[in-house]
Formats: sequence, structure tokens, C-alpha cells
Amino acid sequence: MSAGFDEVIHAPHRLRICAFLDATSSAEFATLRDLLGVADSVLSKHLKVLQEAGYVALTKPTGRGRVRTWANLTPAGRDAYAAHVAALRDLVDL
Amino acid sequence: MESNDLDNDPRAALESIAEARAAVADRLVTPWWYHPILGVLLGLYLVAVSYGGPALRVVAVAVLLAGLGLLTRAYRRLTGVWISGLEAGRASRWAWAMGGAIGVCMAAGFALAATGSPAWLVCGLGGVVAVAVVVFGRRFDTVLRAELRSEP
Repeated sequence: MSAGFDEVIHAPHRLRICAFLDATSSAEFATLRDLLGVADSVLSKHLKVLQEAGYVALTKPTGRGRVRTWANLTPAGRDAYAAHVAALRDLVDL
Repeated sequence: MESNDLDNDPRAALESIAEARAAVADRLVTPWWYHPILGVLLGLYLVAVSYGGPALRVVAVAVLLAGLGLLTRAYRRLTGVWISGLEAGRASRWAWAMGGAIGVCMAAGFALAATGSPAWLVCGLGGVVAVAVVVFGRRFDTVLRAELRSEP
């Protein structure tokens, strides 16, 4: 497998989560859930894997109304995602 | 159940990435009122801090900060995403252009007020700021959407 290829990121749902978050500064939980078309529990599971790898940070801004969870890629997550995309391109170019 | 196509096909994985980026572009539909309100807030701020006394300047800062907070919150609630103007790739140059235009107009406003120029000139500068925010802001959105739909 190419250098930079990351098994944590490569799982299909996690790859889409990382691609979406890489294109944003942050995204709301419900937005990611709608993107994937999965249940809350499924998204939570994938976010937890990414969080434990240090790739994603979750925040719950306080304030009035319903608490919404926001996710963003950490600097380490952005680096790992960029390396993974580069590895995918290398594989395609082989 | 997740598809296993991506596990074995890097091309399919790259296509999946492109789809996710296009989904962000689809979400980035800034409400029509966002940039006009932002422009008016910044234009009024320029006029107030250029010509106003200390009390009015304090009020202007408070109104600007509250307005920016409400606008940001409304945008995030409506779109479900947030993209910093400084983290937007090539589109960031339009955010910098907006900031530069605001900075130049602010400096000009202070200079006009310090030299006792007529107030309508500063009000005109406030109008220039408002228009610049709308023009550069919408250009930022357009370039960003196009970039997201291009190669990942």
C-alpha cells in the first residue's frame, strides 16, 4: 500500500466525512448525517473513530435553544487526509 | 452497510471525495440578505467611528460585534457548515480583497474626519464599504463553489 494511505480514513463513510470536513472549517452533525444518509448512531460511531485517531474534534456551542454538535478536522486530520488523497492519486496513476 | 468498492478501487474513492466536495458547494447558498446586512453594518461602523464621539464609538463596536455574531449564527444554522474566509483556498483572495478594501476605506474615513472634511464624504465611504462587501462577498462564494466542484 502507498505511503500516506490511512486505513482509518479510507473506510467509505469516514472518507466522505473527511472530504466534507476538509472542504469546510466545520460542519454540523445533522449536515454530515444527511450527507451520508445514515442514522445518528452510525455517524457517531465513525466520528468517534476519527476523534480517537486525533483527526476530528467535536464541539457543542452553548447558547439558547437545542444544542448542536459541530465537527472539524484537526491539523493532524487535515495532514492525514491530504496524505491519503495523495496516496489514492498515486494508486490511480500507477 | 458500507460499500466495499472504495476498498479496492482508488478511482471510486476519489469520485466519492469529489461528490462530498460537491455536496459542500450545494450547501453554500448564502442567503441573499447576508452580504447586504454585513455591508451596511460595516459601512455604518465606518461612519460612526470616523465621526462619532467616544460614546458613539463604543456603541458602534457593540452593534458591529452583536451584528456579526447574529449573522454568523444565522448562516451556520441555515447552511449547516462554516468556512472561514482564510481557509477557502483560491477563494480566500476575495476575502483578503474585502478586508483590504474595508481597511483602506477605514483609513480614508479617519483621515477625512481628522482634516475636517464634510460628513457626506465619509458617508460615501461607508457606502463604498457596503458595496465592496456585497461584490467581494458574492465573488468569494462563486469562486469557492467552483473550486469545490473542481478536482479534489
